[in-house]
Amino acid sequence: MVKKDFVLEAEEGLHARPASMLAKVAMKFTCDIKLMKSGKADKVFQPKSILSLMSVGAAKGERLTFVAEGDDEVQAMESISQLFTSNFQG
Amino acid sequence: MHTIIGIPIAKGIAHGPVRIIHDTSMEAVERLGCNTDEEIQIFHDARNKAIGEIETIRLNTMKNIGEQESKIFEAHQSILEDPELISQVEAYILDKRCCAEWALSLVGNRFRAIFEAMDNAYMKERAIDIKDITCRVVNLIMGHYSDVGSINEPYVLVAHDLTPSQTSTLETKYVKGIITEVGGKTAHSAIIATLLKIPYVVIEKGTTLLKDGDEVVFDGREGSVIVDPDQIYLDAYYVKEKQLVQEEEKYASLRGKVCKTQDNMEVELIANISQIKDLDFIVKSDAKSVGLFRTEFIFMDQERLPTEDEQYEIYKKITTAMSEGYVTIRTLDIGGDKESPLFDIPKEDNPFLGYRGIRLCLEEVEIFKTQLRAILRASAHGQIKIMFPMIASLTEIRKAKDILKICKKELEAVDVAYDSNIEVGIMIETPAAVVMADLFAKEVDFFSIGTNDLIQYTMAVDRSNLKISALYSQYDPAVLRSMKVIAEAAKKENISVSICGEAAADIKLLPYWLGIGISKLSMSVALIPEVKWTISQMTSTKGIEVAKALNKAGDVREVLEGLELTAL
Repeated sequence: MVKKDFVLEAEEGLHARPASMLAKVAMKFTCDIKLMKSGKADKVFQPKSILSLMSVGAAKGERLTFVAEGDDEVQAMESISQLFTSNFQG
Repeated sequence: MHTIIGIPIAKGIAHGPVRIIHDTSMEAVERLGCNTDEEIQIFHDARNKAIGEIETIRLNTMKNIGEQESKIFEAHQSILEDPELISQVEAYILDKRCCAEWALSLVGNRFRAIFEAMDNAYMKERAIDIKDITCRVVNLIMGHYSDVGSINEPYVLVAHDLTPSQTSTLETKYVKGIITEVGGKTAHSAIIATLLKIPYVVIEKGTTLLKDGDEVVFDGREGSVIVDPDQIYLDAYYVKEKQLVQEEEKYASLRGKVCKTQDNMEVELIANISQIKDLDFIVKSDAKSVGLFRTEFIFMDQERLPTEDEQYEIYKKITTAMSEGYVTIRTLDIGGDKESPLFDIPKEDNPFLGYRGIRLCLEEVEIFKTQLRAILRASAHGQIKIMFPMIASLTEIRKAKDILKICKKELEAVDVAYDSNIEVGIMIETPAAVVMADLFAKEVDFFSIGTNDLIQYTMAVDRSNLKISALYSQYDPAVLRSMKVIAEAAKKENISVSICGEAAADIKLLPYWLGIGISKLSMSVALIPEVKWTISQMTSTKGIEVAKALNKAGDVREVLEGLELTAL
């Protein structure tokens, strides 16, 4: 299992465009991925679902925790990292 | 045969069968006891078909509008591929043995409710996306037309309203006319229809008064729609259509030529623009410059204030595109009927007499300065003029100019280039500005007359109040005299003067404008061909004659009589 925190820098928060990019990336992997707002572990979101991602309602500056578990968990977390470092450009 | 009264929007003769485009209301009904395997298959078939339709829209948007704008449709496609959505719909069908469209409507509504409950304004609006997408699939399942791209034969499009995705896929080959229930001449869909030469009228309750397959004919200049017309009416409309085609040919013969009267007085026809997405149409038109660039759209429908860089990119884009001419940028004119949640404007009894335009900008100095700096930076890439709205006093002009001066100094301090000779002008739209025009003219480089507000303030009439809206008229001598005062004040100080309200393109008033010395008219580019042709048929001496004759007119009736007499 790998776990990592990210700070969302996208100006308008996790809106349709970044959410669809994130969902596309997450779907490429077979491992189970979960997303939680940091400090709020009671509500779990599905990064493979754009609807679930958009319903996070994450604004700019929000801290998000990702947990990946499965065969390709390391690669999955790396791809998610890249999205956050590039601030969802491209 | 019967007639339905409508409001004229875009000219032209439309004739064809009605196709009602459903998209704003989901009309799924619950059917239970279904074969679950079949319903799940129906759901997936419709879902895949919808993804294909959206792909067409995405490609069209990319081609016609821009890559950034097309991104939203990728998101729409992802929503249709969404594992959460799919699994919930499947589970619902299996659980209740209900039909696919009902399961999808319910699941769609559930997601919409989540988004609508969010306290973030941007995410709230995403509820509309969910609705858009689920409606498309529900309509596909139920065999309704949901898309203007899915009909491949001539028809008259009837809808409650047209979404941007629909207007970007209008096929002039098939869409012979448009009827919507809401909208107006300045709406985005109206501008597109005019430019694509699709006749367009607004009929309240059009989607219930008309039904699929009804044969209709209408003239977009008149507004009335005839359902199931007799041959004699059709013949009359064909004659009108022929005349219109001939007119279009006349107008087309002047394309690319300088606009001038028979006695060679040149008239500058320039463009009004209120959305950057309309820029392509401006570039393709005969307008070389922009007389009014409304910047409100940059501030509307946004979650936060636009940054200086974001604004700079927009101003730079339009300035670079209009490289042969200039771009007149009007600073933020929010307030009045243009509301934005970004500004804390308390509810006012008289918003038109309230906190708006320059009044707001002089209070919200930081917002104003951000915009001015962005405009100044863009002025390094082409010719820009700055225009302040809603000016009523000299103090406002001086204060605004002082703030502009500070912005220039700030840019100099960090070595950022701008046009140091940038022209500064004002909108003349209050009676105060009219009576003070002689002194204001000494302070600025140009005047631009906003007739819509000037008429409303001069006549003290709210034109949306039906009881008194007849008092709102560009033909009122009080308005025409005000225009003359402004033109004379500008001439005396040798500054330029233009009109940028709807009256600029009023065919009847064109000779008057020339007669009082206004030879710069800014309008929606769709109106330029007809205005240009009309000007090419008159003389400037005729204009002076008309202006003289109207001096003696005492009311609207006498003005109209004077215009008709001198037109002979």
